[in-house]
Amino acid sequence: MFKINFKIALRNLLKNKVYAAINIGGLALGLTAFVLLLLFINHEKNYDQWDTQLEKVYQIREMHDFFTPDNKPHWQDIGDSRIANLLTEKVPQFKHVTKISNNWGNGYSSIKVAQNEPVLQKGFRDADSSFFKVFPYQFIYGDEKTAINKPHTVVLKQSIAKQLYGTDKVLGKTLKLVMWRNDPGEEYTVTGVVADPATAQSVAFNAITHSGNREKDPENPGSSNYCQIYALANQALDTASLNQNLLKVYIDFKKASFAQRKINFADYYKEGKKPGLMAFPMQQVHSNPALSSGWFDKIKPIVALSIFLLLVSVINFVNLATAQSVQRAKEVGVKKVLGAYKKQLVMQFLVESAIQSLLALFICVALVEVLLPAFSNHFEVELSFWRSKQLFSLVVQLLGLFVLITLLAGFYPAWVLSKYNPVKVLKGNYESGFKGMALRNGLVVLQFIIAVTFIIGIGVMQMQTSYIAHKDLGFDKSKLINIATNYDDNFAERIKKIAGVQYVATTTQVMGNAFNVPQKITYKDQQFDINTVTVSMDALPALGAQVVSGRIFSREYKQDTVNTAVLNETAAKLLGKNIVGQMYKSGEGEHQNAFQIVGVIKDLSLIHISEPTRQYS
Amino acid sequence: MIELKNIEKYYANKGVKSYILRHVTTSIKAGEFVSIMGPSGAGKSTLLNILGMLEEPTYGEYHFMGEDVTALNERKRIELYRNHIGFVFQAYHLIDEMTVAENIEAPLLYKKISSGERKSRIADILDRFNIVAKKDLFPNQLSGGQQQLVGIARALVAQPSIILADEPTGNLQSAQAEQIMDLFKKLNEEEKITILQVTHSEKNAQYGNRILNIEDGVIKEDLAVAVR
Repeated sequence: MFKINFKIALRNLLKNKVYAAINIGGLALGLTAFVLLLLFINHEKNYDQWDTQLEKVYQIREMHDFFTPDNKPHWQDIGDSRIANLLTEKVPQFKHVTKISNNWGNGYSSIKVAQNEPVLQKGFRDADSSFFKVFPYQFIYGDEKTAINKPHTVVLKQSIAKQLYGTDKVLGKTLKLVMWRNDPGEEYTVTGVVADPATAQSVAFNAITHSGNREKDPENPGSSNYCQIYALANQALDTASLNQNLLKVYIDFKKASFAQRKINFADYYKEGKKPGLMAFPMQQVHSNPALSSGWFDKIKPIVALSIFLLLVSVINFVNLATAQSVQRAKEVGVKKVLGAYKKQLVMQFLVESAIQSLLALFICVALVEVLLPAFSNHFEVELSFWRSKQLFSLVVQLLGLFVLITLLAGFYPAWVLSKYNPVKVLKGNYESGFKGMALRNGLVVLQFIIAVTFIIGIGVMQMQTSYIAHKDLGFDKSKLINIATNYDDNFAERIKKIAGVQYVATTTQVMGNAFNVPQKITYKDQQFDINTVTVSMDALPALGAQVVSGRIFSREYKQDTVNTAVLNETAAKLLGKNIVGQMYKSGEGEHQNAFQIVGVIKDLSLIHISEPTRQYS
Repeated sequence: MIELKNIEKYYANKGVKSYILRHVTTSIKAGEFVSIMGPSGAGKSTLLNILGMLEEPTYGEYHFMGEDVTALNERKRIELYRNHIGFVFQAYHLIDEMTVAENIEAPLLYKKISSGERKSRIADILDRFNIVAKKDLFPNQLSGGQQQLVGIARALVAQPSIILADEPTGNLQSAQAEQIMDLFKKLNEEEKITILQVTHSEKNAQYGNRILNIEDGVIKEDLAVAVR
């Protein structure tokens, strides 16, 4: 029976090629979007799942207000390095505690291997000697117990070893690591190579260096060194009771520290400021990062989008299948007369849907393979399909999806078809035997609503991007490069010597950065609130600022090196007419300075519109 | 074999009952060849559908081989007609996506007959009907008469005790019609299969041994056909 039903299904698909193509193609598109999302979710969910020992690893979070965007205390995954020793001594449940440097700045360092040109690499992180006791990385070469016991040793991941040296047999080789500008650099010896784990890691690194600096804490109790702290427990612990204990230990520690520094504990922790220390299970870190929202919150819109896309293709399938079912009415009638049960007919049409969704699934797999590189690139994740290390669970998920789609798309048409009254359809009046028009109309309306919403969404996004791309910013961005670093005259001079560089300048306001300095100024005995940006001499010409009246800063005018200001049009309007050459005052008491307005320029669209521009030097 | 007692069929429309069948009481014995005749709209086809259990009477008793059909649930009823009744239609109603052999096989699939048995029965019937050469053709590649032959083969392959035929020759030319009617007669006489046909044609009715004349839902006449 299955064989003949299968044959009938294929003959029907071949007979109605256009119908089959639309149905299968539509389903394949919807599935592709969904499978891509599925891959992404799998990737995110599998963070820190590469070893069972990680169930016993905890991220230590401290409540403090350093480095927070709003200057208020938050739970943070960077904490005082002294906490590591404290935990080792006072919390017996923790077998090992490790400290690892935070990824400061953009996380790049410069690596020089032998006589090669130095390369920029991310993820060279400094840790104390316990790192590989807490994180069970698998050593391909080297000894995990002693690899980073001595200073100036480094353990590489296999992938980066191959990238840097062309091979992973690199034990004993050296590399030179330069962390920041003017860093003379230090030589490290490779003492181990670890395998790249099967799933992504929250504590991501390419190499773990051991400089030796992580072993000691600052001697002055008033200064502290911030780093990430991870602890390995004897067993998976009840975090609630553990955290109570941690808090007690922490408060004792803070009290002792404050006593040394002559700070009153009660004075320090007031107005909502509270001491806090907690252990957070490693495997939940990725979905609940400190200070930002978890990955799932971020991709909620995309989840909705792909579910809707899948839904549209399923609805499309249901509609086409039920519309086409009239053609099959006779078959149903005859089979019923021959003695088929309704259940058998439902099964037959479900098999037909299954064939179509299976074909769609094949196309979808091909499409996913084609699209995956672009998708991975866009979301900055390493996704793979066939080469995925969780291929088995992926296949199970795809099978589940296949069954779900088959039932979702196939059940209603199958049910409608199997309901036909044989007497009516065999006499030839199908339409009277056809019900469920309301549902089909409803589905079509829903499908159109979703589709139109998508189209409008695309339109809005298109307008937004074209607005951003074409807005007149008041400066010429095409020849401008922004280097995020500290300003240093020597460095600036060296950049200026590079052929093709016209201006080198610094500002306190970077394009797209909200670092404003709001100030009150007094102009003709009236107070105004304006935002100020401090710039060096060449900044305005470098930005290509367009002069409305007066002039911009120039070396030809000696007085421009100090206490002169250029306003933008918005600020100029605020202050009134004929302001070029006038003076205004800002600051209070002995810090009060008088500025001469030397010019007005067109608004520069940085972030805020009403910011006058001026210079002190 | 078949006992009908006071069968009524009507549709209630705004309180008005429109009758299709009224007080139909008759019995059909195994081995009979009965023709149901009457003008269009007299209720012939409805009677046939009720006998074939495709429709239910509004009122009355229907015993098929001793079983009270109206008291059976759907599943039991399907089982009953699947095992005992073969249908032949005026428009043949072969399944377009199936070949001749597959069409003939279809009722056997629902009877859960083993594959070997199916093959031998199909081979047998193709042979008997002289259509072996056509077994891999699709219905639209056959003439009307050939299609009806397949239709009868399909009805016979399940070895029913009765064949219900609704104007089996209505769509055929007279030469083909005669061939089909001869076949029915032969099946009735040689294999003792009970046959019940609805027909307009007096000539076709003469092939049987009993004629039921229906007018306005009532059996007007119940005649025996003179043996030729």
